Amino acid sequence: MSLPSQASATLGTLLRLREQLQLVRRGKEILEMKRDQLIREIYRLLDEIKRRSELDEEFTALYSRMKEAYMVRGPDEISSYSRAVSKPSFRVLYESLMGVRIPHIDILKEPDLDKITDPALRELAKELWELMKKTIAIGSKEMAVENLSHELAYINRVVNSLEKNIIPQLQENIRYIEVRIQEITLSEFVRIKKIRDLLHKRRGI
Amino acid sequence: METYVVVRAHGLRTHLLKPEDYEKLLGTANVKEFIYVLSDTDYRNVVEQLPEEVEASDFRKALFKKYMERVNILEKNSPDGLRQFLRNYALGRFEVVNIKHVLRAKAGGSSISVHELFPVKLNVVKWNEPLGLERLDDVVRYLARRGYPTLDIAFSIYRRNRLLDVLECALEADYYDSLHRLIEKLKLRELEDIVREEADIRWLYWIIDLKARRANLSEVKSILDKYGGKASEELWSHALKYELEDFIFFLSRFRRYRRIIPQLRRGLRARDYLLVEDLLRKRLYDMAVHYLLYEPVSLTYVLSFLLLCEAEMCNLMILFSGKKARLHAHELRPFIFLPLV
Repeated sequence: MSLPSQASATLGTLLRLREQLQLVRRGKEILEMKRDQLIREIYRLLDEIKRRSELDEEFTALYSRMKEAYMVRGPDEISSYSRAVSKPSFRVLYESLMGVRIPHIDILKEPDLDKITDPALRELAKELWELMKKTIAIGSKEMAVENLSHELAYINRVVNSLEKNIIPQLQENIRYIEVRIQEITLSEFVRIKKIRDLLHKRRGI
Repeated sequence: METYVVVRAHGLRTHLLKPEDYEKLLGTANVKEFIYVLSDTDYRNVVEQLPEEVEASDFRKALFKKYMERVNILEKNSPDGLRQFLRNYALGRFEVVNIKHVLRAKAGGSSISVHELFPVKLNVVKWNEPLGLERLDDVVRYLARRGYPTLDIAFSIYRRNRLLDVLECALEADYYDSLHRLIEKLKLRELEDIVREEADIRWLYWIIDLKARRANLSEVKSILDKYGGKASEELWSHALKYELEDFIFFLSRFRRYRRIIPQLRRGLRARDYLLVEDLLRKRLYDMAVHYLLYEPVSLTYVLSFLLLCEAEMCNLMILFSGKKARLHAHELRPFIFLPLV
């Protein structure tokens, strides 16, 4: 925001700038509220994401059992069993959280794991699918945290810019115009005084 | 002539891998080294034809080739009746495996090529025919006309409960039923016991599987009856009446299962079906070893030898997959069946 020229240092400009300052302060307050809400939301999601390490451990344990099954059944048998299972299908939906697009993965069709006739592989596949579902849920939460963090960074930048740049500039402009108006008012007052003195002298008062 | 086949089986048995061979194979660092060590055994001729980068399917086919070589040697010098039986016994089980692959693919709407199957020509001569059919019911109808009539009954049950297990159980039921009928027809009485014991183990596997699935057992009775084993006759009512763990307890009636019952129950309690199947598989091979030791001059010896060939195939496939998955020897050893004969 540039400094107004002398010509624009009017009461109208001052009122307009004061309105602008009020609006910017209100906007900043709203953005700060949004920022706090985003931080709360991110913290809430982070608590849920913390479960990822537990999931990783579960995956590691399952992986070693799967390696055993792979070894006993062999890759050909495993691919044969997997042929009987229909693939799962997903849909990515977006919900809006304070204007931020949050992905939500919807499982449209679960794989029909009951078609695996080998009981050991069926149990393993079911456990793996349950873990996959949890991973998908955590994955979408991680995406949500990422999107919310981007929004948070953006809001921080805007709030900082308002706080450190725009508001001080508006305040400076208002102060400048106020001073200018005071100067103008004072010079008007002095001019009127001088004119009155002159008129009094002419009239011989 | 039958004695000659037994003698040939005795000769071929000396070619089976020994525990020290398995130790060498277990100690290899990777697949390449594993193949190299294997080429120092009876598998030399089939292993030499493998490509530089060996895939599991190539290796499986090489093992099958070796198995068939051994079967052919036995078959070649057998009288007609026995030849027919050996052919049905040895090839039939691989045909069943092939059909299972086809049924699974058709049930899941996936594709499967003829190259992924064992090159078996027994009841199904042209594999392209069932593979070309799109719907599962067409494939079932096709197979029902070619030596697997129980599939028709199984399919009507499958329509209700959507359990593919019933179809696979029916395939094996037809296989064992055909063996029982051949034994009857060809008067190969001495083979009856070993086939019935083997059928029993498979029957037990399906009982465990179907009970774990909470399937209606009485619905599949006609299929399970075709296994024709001793346990299936005596334990059927218990299988219907009791929960799985309690049912296993009744197996103690058969001396041959007593030793594995505690482990079986533990495995079932933990839902560790890999352990359960491993126990049953090893029980089958133990039985083969038993016959090998105690029936050295009977035809049972030939079937026991074929079972041990299958165990060897299974061991080598486990070792190959384990090496591919970079598993250590101590992780692989528990799954290997070492015939101490």
